[in-house]
Amino acid sequence: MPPTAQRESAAEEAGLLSRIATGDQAAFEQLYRKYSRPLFSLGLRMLENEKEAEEALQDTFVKLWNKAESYDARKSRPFTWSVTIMRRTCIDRLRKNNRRPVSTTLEDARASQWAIPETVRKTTELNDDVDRVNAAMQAIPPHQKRALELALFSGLTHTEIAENLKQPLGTVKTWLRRGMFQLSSSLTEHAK
Amino acid sequence: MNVTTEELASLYVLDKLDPAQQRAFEARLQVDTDLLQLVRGLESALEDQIRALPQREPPGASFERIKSQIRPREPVPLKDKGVSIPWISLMGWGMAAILLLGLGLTFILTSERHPPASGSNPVVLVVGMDAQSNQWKTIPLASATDASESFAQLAVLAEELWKNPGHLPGYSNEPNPANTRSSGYTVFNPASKHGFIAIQQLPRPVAGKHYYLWVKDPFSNRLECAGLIPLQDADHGLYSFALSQDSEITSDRVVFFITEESSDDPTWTRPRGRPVLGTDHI
Repeated sequence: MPPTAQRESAAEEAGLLSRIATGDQAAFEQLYRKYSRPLFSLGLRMLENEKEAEEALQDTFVKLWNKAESYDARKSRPFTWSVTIMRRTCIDRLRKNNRRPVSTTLEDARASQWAIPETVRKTTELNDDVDRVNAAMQAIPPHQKRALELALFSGLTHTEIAENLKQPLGTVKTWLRRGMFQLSSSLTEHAK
Repeated sequence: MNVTTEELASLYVLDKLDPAQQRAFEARLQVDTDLLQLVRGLESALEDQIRALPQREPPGASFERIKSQIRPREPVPLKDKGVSIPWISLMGWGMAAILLLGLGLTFILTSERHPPASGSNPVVLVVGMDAQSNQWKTIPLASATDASESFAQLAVLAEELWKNPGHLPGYSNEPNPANTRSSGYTVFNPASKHGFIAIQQLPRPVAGKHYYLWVKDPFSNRLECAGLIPLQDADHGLYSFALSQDSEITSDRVVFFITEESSDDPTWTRPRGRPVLGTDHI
């Protein structure tokens, strides 16, 4: 999504969270319509199991309902806040079930059995935003990209990522910083 | 921005800081707008990355299952929108915020020239309050495309009135007499049943007491508690509130008043304590 659209969307979603904090179920349903798809897809990516991803999604939305009042727009955007809740919920499930965190690459994920049906995938892949993000990810050096993918989707701490990649912690932090900033910069350039 | 700060910002957005680091970083975010902008940029990249994953709809019955797990809320402390640090200007939302700001100003300026709207025209009710009375003003409202836009319009109007109280009904810049040092206002959309209560000045509640906001329809005499005002360490604040969608208060001219109630006796249904702002009758 282009940055301007994201900002406008964030303003609207913050309004929804304010209304949810007052008990407005219509606002809650609106937020579900906006976020359920990306959050469910994130759950599938992290848990690699449809039933678990659905349960994690349900837990996440119950938390969003219960915690809406504590949302602070000065700390994060509504989407980032919701993603953090979903990721933590998925990590809890991975740890509870003593499962190894997912460490496949994005390319592996696309090819795996839980990935979207071919027709939907084609539609998605034609989407300009997806192309824009894929192009930006391709431009990142492979080791930074790998560190970013583990940080985003595996549920590993940065110390565990360092162990996984057999690199010093400082190096992994540097990779994450460079990867994030290059991704941000590339996406901003593409959006212009 | 130095490398260490950039590293902290990256780890913050990736949710990889430990709790102490996170608290310290969030404290910096409150006061450092450059850092806030940096984090917003990284959040955009994160959002794009999540949305670029292979997307799948959750099973159709998911939302019904979620709804069965949530409970309707009891009246809760009204949400402090942060008057001392305007929430919209701090969001870094650029044009969206500017456009809304212009809209809010338009409401105020046009309200001086147009008669109050009536019938089904969308309106927002502005009620100025002092220790003993309510003063109304009805302002024509541009049609909002949805409830969120309507809510944002109200928020902007509430903040603009805070900055420009001269537009409030019954406003006087004469110093208040010592025995009536209470003032505030509400903006309320009768259609959406959302509103903001602004406390411009009100003595802090005494220990063991809290302030409650009440809404009354003077024509049907129906009364509802709109929530608890968390006025703890200040004598002013701006808070949002909402009546439930099935509220029986349907008039487009309602009265608002605040009472001081015992903390251990939240009846929610009828005020028992003394009124401190506004009045329950016309």
